[in-house]
Amino acid sequence: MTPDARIDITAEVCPMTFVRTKIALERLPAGAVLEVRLKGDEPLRNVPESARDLGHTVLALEPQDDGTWRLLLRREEPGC
Amino acid sequence: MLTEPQIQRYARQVLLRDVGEKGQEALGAVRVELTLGGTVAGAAAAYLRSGGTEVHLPATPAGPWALTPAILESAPSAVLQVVAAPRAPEPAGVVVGSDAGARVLWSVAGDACRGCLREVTKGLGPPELPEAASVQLGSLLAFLVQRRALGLAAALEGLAISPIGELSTLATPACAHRPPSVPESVLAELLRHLSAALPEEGCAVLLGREDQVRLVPMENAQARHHARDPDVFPRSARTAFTLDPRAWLELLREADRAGERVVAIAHSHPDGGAGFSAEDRRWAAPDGQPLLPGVAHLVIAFRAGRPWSARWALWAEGDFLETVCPLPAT
Repeated sequence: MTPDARIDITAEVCPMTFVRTKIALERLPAGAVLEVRLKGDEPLRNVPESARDLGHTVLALEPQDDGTWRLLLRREEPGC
Repeated sequence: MLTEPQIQRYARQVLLRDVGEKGQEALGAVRVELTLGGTVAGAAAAYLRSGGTEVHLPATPAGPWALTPAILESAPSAVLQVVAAPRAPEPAGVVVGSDAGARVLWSVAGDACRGCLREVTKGLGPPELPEAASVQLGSLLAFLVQRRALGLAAALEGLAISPIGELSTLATPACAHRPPSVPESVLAELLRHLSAALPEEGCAVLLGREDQVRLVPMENAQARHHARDPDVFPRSARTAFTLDPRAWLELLREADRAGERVVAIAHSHPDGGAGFSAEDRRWAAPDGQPLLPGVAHLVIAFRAGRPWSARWALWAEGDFLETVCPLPAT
């Protein structure tokens, strides 16, 4: 699946990990897909969960060879 | 879009479900005119300014919060006024007052019903502000302003703090100040009748039963009165209207038989004067009380022989309130 936008939050710490993700989702139209590159336990736990809390859909969460994770989120209307 | 320094500064607010990037921009798009003084204004200003909203404090020297950089480069487009009762914000903002020892806050939208606003703020005195309660009041004030700026607030919403500091939300009354709903065809018929009376004032009565409204064209009896007795009726029918008492009584009888009620009295201003004039007010409420409670007034102003403005006038807590009546396209 080709995402509509990509962000890399591997250099961010909480709470900026989700601030970046939230803003990137808000800038997309409903139905668009955002790819998030993340690293470390905290964002791995919190970013997908916070996105789900706002009503967005977690499409995939896949480990990468370089130790980062690739998270695919679909932007849904209620989260705006 | 927020800039990088703004994202850093307002990160914790952007995280909130009801704020986000757009909400943060909305908080920066209003300027608050805080006309209260003292600790309450300082506390409200501190919360608002650090939240990214511009605050203007004519009554208090600006504190350190005034140094927060503006969130938008352009000047805020909307103003929210914070005023002490018995004043009302013009048009949107918050009224702060007191009622039997409780402190009361009413947040008002620009398009909130002014009649309901009068109803809920009737009897409110200026806020009594014991120093200890000022910070609580100021923070609630900031909260109400932010809800309004974010578009989360109802047209009218109220909070009260009891003398012992308990917080409660106040009920908003069911609105009884909406102008009657008149079908376009009836308005068009009214405009034709009033046009035919030009250059004199024309008048008509709107009768209603449930949702049905119909027009009863009336004669402007002022011409006859003026011709007969210009001392008692100095104004001609060009600047005044009178319903003929006999025709009025007949109309009321007819309405009564048909189960109808008088919804509104309409008249025209051929000279273009828009709105319910001082003379109209005297006619409709001679002793400061409405002659016909529950009856709306509709004024159609003409310019160069064409209708150009129409306004409803409805009685609400001691005065007539005017609202625009959209005219049918001609």
